[in-house]
Amino acid sequence: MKKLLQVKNLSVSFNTYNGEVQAVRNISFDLFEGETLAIVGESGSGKSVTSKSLLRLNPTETTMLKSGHILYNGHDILTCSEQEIRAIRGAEISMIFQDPMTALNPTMTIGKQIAESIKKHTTLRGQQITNRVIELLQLVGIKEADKRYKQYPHQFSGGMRQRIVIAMALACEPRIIIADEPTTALDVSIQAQILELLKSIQQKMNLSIIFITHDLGVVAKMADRVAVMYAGKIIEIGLVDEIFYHCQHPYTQGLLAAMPNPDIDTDTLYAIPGTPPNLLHPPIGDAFASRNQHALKIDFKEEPPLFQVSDTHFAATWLLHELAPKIVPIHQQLAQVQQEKHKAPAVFDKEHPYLSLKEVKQHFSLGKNAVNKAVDGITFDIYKGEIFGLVGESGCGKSTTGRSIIGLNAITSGEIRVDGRNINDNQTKKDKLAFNRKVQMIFQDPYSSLNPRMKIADIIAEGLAIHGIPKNEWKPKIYELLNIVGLTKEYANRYPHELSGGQRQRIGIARALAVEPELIIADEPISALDVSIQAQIVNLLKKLQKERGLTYLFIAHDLSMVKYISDRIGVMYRGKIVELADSQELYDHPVHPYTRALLSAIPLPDPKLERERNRIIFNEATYQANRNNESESFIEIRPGHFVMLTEEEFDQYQLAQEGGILL
Amino acid sequence: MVRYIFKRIGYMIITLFIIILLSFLLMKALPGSPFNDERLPETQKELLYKKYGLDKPVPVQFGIYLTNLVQGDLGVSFVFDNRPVTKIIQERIGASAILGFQAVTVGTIIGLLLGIIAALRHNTIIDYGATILAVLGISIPSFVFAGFLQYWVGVKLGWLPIAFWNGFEYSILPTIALAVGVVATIARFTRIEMLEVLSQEYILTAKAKGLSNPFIITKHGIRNAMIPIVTIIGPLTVNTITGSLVIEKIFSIPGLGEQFVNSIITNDYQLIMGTTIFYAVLFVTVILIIDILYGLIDPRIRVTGGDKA
Repeated sequence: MKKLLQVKNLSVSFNTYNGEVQAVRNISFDLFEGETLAIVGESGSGKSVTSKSLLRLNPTETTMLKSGHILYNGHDILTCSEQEIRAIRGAEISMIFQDPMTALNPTMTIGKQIAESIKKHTTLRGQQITNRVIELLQLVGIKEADKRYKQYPHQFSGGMRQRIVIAMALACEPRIIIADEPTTALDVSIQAQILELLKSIQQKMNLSIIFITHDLGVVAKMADRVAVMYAGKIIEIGLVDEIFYHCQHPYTQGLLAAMPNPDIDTDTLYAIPGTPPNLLHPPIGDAFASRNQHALKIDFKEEPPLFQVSDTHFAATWLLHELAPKIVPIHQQLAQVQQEKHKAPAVFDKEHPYLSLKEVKQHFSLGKNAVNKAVDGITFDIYKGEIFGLVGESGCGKSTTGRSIIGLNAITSGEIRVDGRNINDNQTKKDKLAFNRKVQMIFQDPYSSLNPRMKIADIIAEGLAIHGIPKNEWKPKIYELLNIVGLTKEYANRYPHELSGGQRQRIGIARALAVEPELIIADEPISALDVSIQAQIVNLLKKLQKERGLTYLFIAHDLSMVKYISDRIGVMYRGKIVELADSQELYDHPVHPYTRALLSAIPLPDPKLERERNRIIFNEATYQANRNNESESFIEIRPGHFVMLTEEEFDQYQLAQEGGILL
Repeated sequence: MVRYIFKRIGYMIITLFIIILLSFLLMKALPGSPFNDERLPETQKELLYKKYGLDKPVPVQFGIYLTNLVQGDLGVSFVFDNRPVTKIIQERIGASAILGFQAVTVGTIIGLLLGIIAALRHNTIIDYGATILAVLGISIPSFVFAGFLQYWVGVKLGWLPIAFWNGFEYSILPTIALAVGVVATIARFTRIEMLEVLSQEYILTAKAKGLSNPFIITKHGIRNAMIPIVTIIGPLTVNTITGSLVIEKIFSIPGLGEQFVNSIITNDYQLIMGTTIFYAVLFVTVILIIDILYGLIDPRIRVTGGDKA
């Protein structure tokens, strides 16, 4: 295979007020023609900086290029002239950014934005450019392209915008596309469509793709080769199967083990302890050593070289040295343990549900005649001590449901009961306070949900103060809470900006726990966190459930994590719950077409499986068109398994069951 | 869009009515009258009151005034020998309009340039210099600056005339004095907006397409930065016009502002009312135009009910 791009000993630092941050530390890799190279890592691992360096797009004022060469087609990208690099950008190497909502200029038509690079890099002019733009829009699957090219970005949905961004990147038929987390901001089914689009275009145009992501499922689906980055270094690189099935570096092993495996039942997820190092002062030796339980003495003293495992597989860990002790990798240890034990299903008091929603509707008026039926008649119970997962794509009403329960919105109609009491009956202030104390919320974004001007101790103490706990009891209580969420009491005197994302989310949990609630509504509590940190938080939530008998409503879009943590799952679609069942049951026997499509769209961290899997496509238009919504009802098709079906659909389902076709 | 404009015009009329009512009542509450001359005999005064309808109850006076106003009649001046107020405004508006237009245009252009340059040279001497200039421009009142200009440029250097209105060179100093505030406000605002826009991902996307920097800044940067700036040009114009009241007085320019100040001193009710209404109409119109412009620049506002796919 032909080498298209060579990165040699690249080191990039940033000048900050605090000093030099060594974002990328001496990395080398090649890119071959027609392949997809995935660069995986957590936030701060240097993967985005690396990708931007390939086009010299890092901010010029603060970036310090310490060393290295990036060779492309006889040019060194790092030293060539501004003119030369501009001729490469967009024409030879183009880029797709993470957030399609911000990657398009809101005041320019999409057609013009695509045309810009064509005008710059080709000899096409006038009508030829317009034709090319329409052709590109058709290529990325935008219907009525001849009309829509005149529209502005806000007239397209997120998934459509990402297609437009891709069309823009393809405009001049580049040889390399760098995709920086291109699907992270999208819903799973849209993500699946975009990934498939990229794959098919890659085959048509013989493109090389550098795919930056933190999602191992996406890697398994897309990559031919994988480079794993940690603390500014590539610590392991190899073919996708080598990385997923024979990884050598303890960090890679830990990452893989931290992903919930839907086919295995466990009590706790494996979580890599600690947090990534601060690259202002990179550690000596192996940067991962302090988080590695089996670290050797040499790991703290000397940096490991890249050991060759096979022709294509390299890993930087001293464990590969001939003198190193042989250690069974963590993911294999787990697999063995997990095969043995299967947890017994928990038993809940189903007679007296802790939270009960009956026909709850939450409509928002959008001007005169338009109503947004965010939540449109949902009914479900959550039993005491249970974790109930609510999943669905953005806009389905899952977050609104959570907000309605905690009383942030007054519901339009229906009834919400908490511990047997209707929440709208809480007339007196005292009643309201008592209710607020019972139900607490954890938010998605650990950055914006903590007041940056308050110390951690004060943030936690707020809840204590409102609920009338005497002042002299605060301090021990705060320390106790910090201890519960796995932080030391030194954190009490810090400010939120001094903490990492995972630590902040722990503070969010401590704040919720401060008033000793009984029900916790967790709205996407882990989706803003890195994989290894996600596992830590999920374990903490599960531990608290067990120790304190907490009840959770766990709202998320990540079905594999929800499946792992929840006892039962409700799937929301367009303001309604379309399917509700025990999590294993739902996972094994999904019935509603939407649920089945959603399940099949989640990329799994298993490349072999990903290659065989077929995605079930849920066509919203035909689903809505052929449906008699009047006769729809929530039918219990198996004990505890409810599906929203019309009479006709239910008949079909029963016929299929009798005919032995297992849905 | 048409419906939107009609709705806005409706609101405009309501706003104007409130302004007219309030200024009418306030003026009536002022002590004294246009015929305050002590030498005037009481009988003469009563005759004059009767002649101008000032003896009637206030609501009736207001009714008569409104009826005339709708027909485009602002009444006659009590002081200037019965000359119609509309005529006086017509004579005086020319100088004020030129001065205001020059100050806002020059101020906006220079302000935009300064702001953009400061943003592009973020955290350099140029940026700091522009910021300091802007702060000075905002904090020094225009009349102080006017005196300064008159003394140095007019008297000491003798380059430009310091008063009266006999051609373009007479308008330069007052224009500069008025424009300083505009420059400062626009520059500060533009700088912040440009910095915000330049950090957006679509700028990086444009860069990744291989476009050159000047192209990116003009095509992608400035238009997006302009959106919030347009909204402040409205109030800024209003401010400039109000500022010209004092500037015209200082430079002895026979404009509307100077006349307005004089009419307040002499309690010339009709002239005060007429000028106030004129200013009010001007302000509301400027704000309406700005709002419509806003929609033209930002497609997200213009296209209503666009279908999402």
